[in-house]
Amino acid sequence: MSHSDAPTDPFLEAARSGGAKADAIAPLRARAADAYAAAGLPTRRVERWKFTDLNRLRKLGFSGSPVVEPAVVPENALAVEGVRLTLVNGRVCAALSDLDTLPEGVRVRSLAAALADGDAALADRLSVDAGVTDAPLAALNTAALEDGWLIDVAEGAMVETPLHLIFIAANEGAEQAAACHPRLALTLGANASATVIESHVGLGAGPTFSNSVSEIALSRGARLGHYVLQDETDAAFHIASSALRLDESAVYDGFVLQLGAALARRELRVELAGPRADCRLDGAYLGHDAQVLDNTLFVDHAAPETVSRETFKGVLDDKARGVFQAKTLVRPEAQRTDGRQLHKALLLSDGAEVDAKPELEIYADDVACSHGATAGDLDHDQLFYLRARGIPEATARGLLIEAFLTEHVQAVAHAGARAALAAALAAKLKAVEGVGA
Amino acid sequence: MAATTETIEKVQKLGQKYEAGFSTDIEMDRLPKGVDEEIVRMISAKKGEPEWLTEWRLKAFAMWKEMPEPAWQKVDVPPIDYQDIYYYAAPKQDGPKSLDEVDPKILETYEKLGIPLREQEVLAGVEGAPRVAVDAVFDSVSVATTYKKTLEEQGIVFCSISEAVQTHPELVKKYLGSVVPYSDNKHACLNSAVFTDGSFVYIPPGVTCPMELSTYFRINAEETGQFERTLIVADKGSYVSYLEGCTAPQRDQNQLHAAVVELIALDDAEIKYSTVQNWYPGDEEGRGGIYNFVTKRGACRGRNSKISWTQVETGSAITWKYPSCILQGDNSVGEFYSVAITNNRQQADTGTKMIHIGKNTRSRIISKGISAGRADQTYRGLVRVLPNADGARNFTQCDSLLIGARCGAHTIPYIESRNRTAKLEHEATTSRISEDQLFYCLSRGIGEEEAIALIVNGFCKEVMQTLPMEFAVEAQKLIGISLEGSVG
Repeated sequence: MSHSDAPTDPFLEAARSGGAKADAIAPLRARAADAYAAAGLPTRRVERWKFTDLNRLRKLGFSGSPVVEPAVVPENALAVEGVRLTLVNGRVCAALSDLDTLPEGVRVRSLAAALADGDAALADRLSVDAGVTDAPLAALNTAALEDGWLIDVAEGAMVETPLHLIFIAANEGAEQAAACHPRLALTLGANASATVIESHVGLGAGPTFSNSVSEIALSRGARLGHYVLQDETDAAFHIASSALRLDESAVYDGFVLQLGAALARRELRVELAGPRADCRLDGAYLGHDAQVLDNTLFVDHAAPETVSRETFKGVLDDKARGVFQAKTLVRPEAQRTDGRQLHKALLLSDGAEVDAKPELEIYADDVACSHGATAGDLDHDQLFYLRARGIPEATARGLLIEAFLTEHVQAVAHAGARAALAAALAAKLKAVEGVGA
Repeated sequence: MAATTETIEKVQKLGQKYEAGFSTDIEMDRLPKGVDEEIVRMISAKKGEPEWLTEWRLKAFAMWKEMPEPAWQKVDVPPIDYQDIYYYAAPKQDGPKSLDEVDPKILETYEKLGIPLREQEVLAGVEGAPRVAVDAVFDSVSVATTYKKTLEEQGIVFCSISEAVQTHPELVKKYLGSVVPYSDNKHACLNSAVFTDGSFVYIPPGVTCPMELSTYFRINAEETGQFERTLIVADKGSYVSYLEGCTAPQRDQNQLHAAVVELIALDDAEIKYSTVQNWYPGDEEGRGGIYNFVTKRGACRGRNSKISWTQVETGSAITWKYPSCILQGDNSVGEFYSVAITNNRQQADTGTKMIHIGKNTRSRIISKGISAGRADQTYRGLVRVLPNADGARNFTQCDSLLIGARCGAHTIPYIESRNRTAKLEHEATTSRISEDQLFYCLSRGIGEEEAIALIVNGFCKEVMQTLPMEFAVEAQKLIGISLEGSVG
């Protein structure tokens, strides 16, 4: 039930009209619309949204999003060699997509085209809430979705060239807030291997709301490198719900760099469904002004000998707020599980805030699980060391901030993604902290 | 030994393992079952309370009726029938004037439990042998307080809270409900309405309490709830160490224990509060046992004040308890040391809250959880640093040990920092007893159960070291007893 004292839900109408669409996934849309209508836009009274307040989003009064055909990709997208697949306001932008140079073993379809074809199998590829229980925003995406990508990597395919997914939230008019609901369904066949890079960027100064959902499934022995940049505009709201499923011995290597948006929440749910599935979920964020940057992770160890590693580092300046919620569930059958969580935050100014909730829920005894969390200012000893060597305080602080984040980005396994993420971070550090050359 | 004889012996041993599980036949004075405004008034009247307190109880009761049951905790609580509980049960006797007037059966009970209610001169030659002043609470009322005279000489007030209402009304009125308001939560609210007794301590400025103060709680009567209220005020520059112990007879039904403890430390004062909680945990199948829903909170109001909580939680069917510190005064210190052991079907959701308000406030949390059998245990903690708490410091370590494949151990910490200069560190691990450690002990001829008790005691060492000596011995023994039957 939505709370009576809350203003009218800005997305209820979009969910209802989406839910009423009679296309290939009509029953799914209807269920999703009901789920959204029942829960409504989350408030801080919902435990999982305790630290992130959507009231500003609620007050904006959103309409649908305009059809925009930009000539070029915004320059803050990651600079990587790869096959570009671009969505603008959740719709495929063919002009900025290299659909005719797809690598061998990769099949890409537009979701809108599949819906138009009346593809009956589509309903099996998508789910109401991406498997995230109690996720009204994912349900909203399902009810209202228009387009997106269906990507399949064939069994055994070793795809060298990265797929670069570019998500542009565009609103140049600035009068009306624009909402879009991009969707990604990605599967890797058995023993396939691929690299997917995502750039979430914005265009124009108008308020945008990008509410994306990704469903990713790795079959036995598949390997996916997945590197994400979120650098939307100051007027953007970015909500991303991702669900991952790993079969036996599948390996997922992920990194998320969050730099932009007024409010961004990336929620990731990982199901380690097969024995020896292994996931690395790393990330870094840099917040300034009144930004809210939220990373919420849930790892479900549902099979024996599964491994999860989560390391997030954040720097918060001005009045920015960082949120890190991580939950590791170890089911009784998941013996010999290895699960680690680590979160480190630097607060650079009075008024910055960090909230962390690293949670362990464990029902198996033969496990090694741990979590750690720290929060604090720059290390005074390190500062003193640099200043004693004649480095001015501002530069010394800059060096330490840069080192804190860059060190973590340097751990990204894919060379191209690593260089591009490091460059994006350096540019942001220079813009907001005056750090770097 | 034949396997069957061994089994029989083992089973018998298991049946005996809750050593405090006997009950005492005493004539009881009880109010009728259930709670309503009339009962609240009657409890208040029985205690001869002033009007403001009766009103306060009634306000709490009115609020309690409206409050929903808390549902956020990770324990499975069957619905409680609040009307099926006796809210007032007291040994049938008017307030004893001295220990000699206390019903000998009650004294016997405490003697069986090893609680020295009779004052004994410290033996010559055993210089500095520990003396402990005890306030014993039997079901709903305080039956005896020892060493009163020695304490009075120093101006220390140590008595039951009903007595304090009569003798020190100004102190009670000033501090009661000032740390845990009656509106705090459902159980604290019920306690505020129907609390029957508990201890009151006041340490005057500059006084270091010469002995440990102790309260021993015993639920004896059937179908009785115990709602005690403890209030400790340490005035400027004073020090007190306070111990709390609890037991109950073995019964099939569940009994409710909803206590409230409030601590107040003024400038430069220190309070050390230690608990060994050994309420009846229920049997192997989870029948019976105490529901232990306790609100404990301390306020470091003064500069340089310190409050330290130490708890060893081995009993109760369901525990729900978060001893907390509000670090208001500059440079104040809060500490929380906890060992929680759950076995069989016990459930515990316990932890602490450290709220940093003043500058240079420091807190330290060490929590050790051991889960065995089919038990479920959660550490739930909050460390919150408010914007003005410059230089605040927190260190948190919570480790869990799992024994057996059917138990659960969970860690839910909330860490919120709104001050740049605050430094917060949190770490937690979950693992099981290592095969190597066990093998080492077994190969040296130490039996499996003994080996586990040894390893677990080592695991808890950091916390056990902070217990006063009298309690440390008891607590170590308890750890062994609580884990009996968890292996093999």
